[in-house]
Amino acid sequence: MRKVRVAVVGAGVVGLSTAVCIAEAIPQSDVTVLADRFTPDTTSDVAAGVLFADEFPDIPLEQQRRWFQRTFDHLLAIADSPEASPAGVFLCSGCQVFREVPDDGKPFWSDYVLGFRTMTDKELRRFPQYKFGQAYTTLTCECTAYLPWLQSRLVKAGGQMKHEKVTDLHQLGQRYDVIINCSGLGARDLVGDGEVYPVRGQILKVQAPWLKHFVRVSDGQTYIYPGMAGVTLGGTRQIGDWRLETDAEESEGIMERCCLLEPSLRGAVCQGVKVGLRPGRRNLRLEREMLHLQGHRVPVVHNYGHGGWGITLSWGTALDALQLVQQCLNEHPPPAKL
Amino acid sequence: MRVAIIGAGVIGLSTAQALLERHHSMGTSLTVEVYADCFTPLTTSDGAAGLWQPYLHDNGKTLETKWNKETFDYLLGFLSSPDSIRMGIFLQSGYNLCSERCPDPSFKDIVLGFRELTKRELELFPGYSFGWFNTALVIEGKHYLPWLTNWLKERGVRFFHRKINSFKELAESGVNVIINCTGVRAGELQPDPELMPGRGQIIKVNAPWLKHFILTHNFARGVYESPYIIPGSHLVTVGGVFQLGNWSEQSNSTDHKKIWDEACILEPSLKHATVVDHWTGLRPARKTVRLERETMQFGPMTCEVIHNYGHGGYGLTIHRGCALEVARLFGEILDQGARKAHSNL
Repeated sequence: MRKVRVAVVGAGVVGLSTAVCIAEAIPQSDVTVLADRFTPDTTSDVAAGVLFADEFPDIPLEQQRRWFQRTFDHLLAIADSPEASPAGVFLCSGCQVFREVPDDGKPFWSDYVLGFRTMTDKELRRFPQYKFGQAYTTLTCECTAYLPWLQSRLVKAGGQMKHEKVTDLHQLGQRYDVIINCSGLGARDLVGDGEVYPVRGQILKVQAPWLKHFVRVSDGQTYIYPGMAGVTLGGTRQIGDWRLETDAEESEGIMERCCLLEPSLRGAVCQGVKVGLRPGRRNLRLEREMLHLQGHRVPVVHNYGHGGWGITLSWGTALDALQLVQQCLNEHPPPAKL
Repeated sequence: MRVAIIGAGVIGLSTAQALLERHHSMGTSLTVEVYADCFTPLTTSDGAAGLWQPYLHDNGKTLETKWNKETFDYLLGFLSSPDSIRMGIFLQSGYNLCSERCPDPSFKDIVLGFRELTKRELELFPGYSFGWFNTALVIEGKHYLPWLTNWLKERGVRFFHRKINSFKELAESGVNVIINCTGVRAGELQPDPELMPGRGQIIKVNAPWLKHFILTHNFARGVYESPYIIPGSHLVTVGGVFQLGNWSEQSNSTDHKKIWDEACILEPSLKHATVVDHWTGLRPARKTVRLERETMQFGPMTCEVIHNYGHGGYGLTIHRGCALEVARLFGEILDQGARKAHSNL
């Protein structure tokens, strides 16, 4: 039987994770990642990479929990190994603060991070404008290191990468037996999914190596995420905003809000400003369909729309995508070599 | 009133500060001088990682626990000030690991968010079956000491780079009160069989992905004789050894290997950390801190001495509480002097 030719469209954290899962689990696969942008130019590269998620409204909570848990466990194993620094994965502790006590209790992933608990009054004194907080230890996964690490892992498993802008899945119909669509925001054009929209995020990277904890305000608009080479200060969540250019006024706003949370930041040197467009969608799309491309029936697995939780759900959704691919291959194995 | 402080580590400098804060109303009638043969960045305080944490159990030394708490609360108060970075103070959370269950530590109600480690967390540290997680502070001597020095200089304190060989020499020069903050070498001024060096050796590495302190405790081996990893503002300190009675200030390759090998088992990611430096320091180890007054007679002259040394591996942890206590004892000296002057009328 000849190799199964798999195309993964998109080389962000979701595309590469999916590609690696497939290449490693299906030895007879020949996986190619196709993208117009590779690290360090993907959306994933802009993200601070702290594992955290909000709920998708219509996806069963059990499934979302599983995505979170599997990604967390996968990354925890890396953090607890010599691979931690080459892969850019490490434990980080910190808190999320709320102006009012939330009525929805604990987030769905509270059992999967480490040591999740409510903040004590003494801890809250650092945040006089906030009445409530949750403290825990989670993981940070920096894609500027993690994506190259995944790429190495893909190559070791026999996969490859190709610089190619895929504007239409029809381009791939003849060359591939299975297509995985991890095009993120690009799915809007690639498969005509009007439900995909950008959620613009601007961040600052500052030098503040004394900061060891993350702090996040519950509305997701203000956060401080210490990384390996700098601290990410955020942020913005502008729905429907396609601007890739940085905005000086927004930078000032971010700096001001973060300094209120963490006064020591006033001494921090700014290393840069970046913008990323989160691939927003009401619900993440993870499903398969059969398409007719250039006279071929080609199974397509969609894995996109992760919003601001791409890194957080990357491995878990990749494993589900793998399962869908395996189902496709079982139902329609590629023709044997004659 | 001339006060001479011997020693310019964290104890000497913070004591000078507390004296001035408490007795500034004396104005120019109080002169404070600091004498030392060693200043920042070469003191023991400069080399220490600076994690605020007392030994696990205080064995009844409730006064020391009180001083530790005063220091923690004092330092915590600076966090909301933009000065905190220049002072070298920042928060840090981390792990205390034990090979067996043991009683709660003396600092459990002092630090923030103290809790036992969960089973999943302990799985990250094979060989350790019990432990705690909490948020504490780091106070880096190499920033804190210059900040203190500045504070003192701004208030007219004079510094003398000179080794003091006897209390007598200072008394004879007209000093009324001597504060003895000479740390591990206090025995040179007055023999103290309870004071011994607790030699420590550390390795400084570049590992910016490490955000937590990890301290291990091996009750058979003793305090600090077990690996620890403490991230600093730039580099990560890896230790530890605690060799009682060893005066060598040279780094030793056997110790280096033991420290490194054990730390790499504890934290596998260290494999890719670059070693930047190493350092050896002598902790001024003593069963208890010596913090007390002593009146010395040199012929017709009386000189009041306040001893403040023997802080072991927790000088930075306890410094403020001790400094306040010295300031209180100094107040007693002033009162006695005033009463005596009064009674002489």
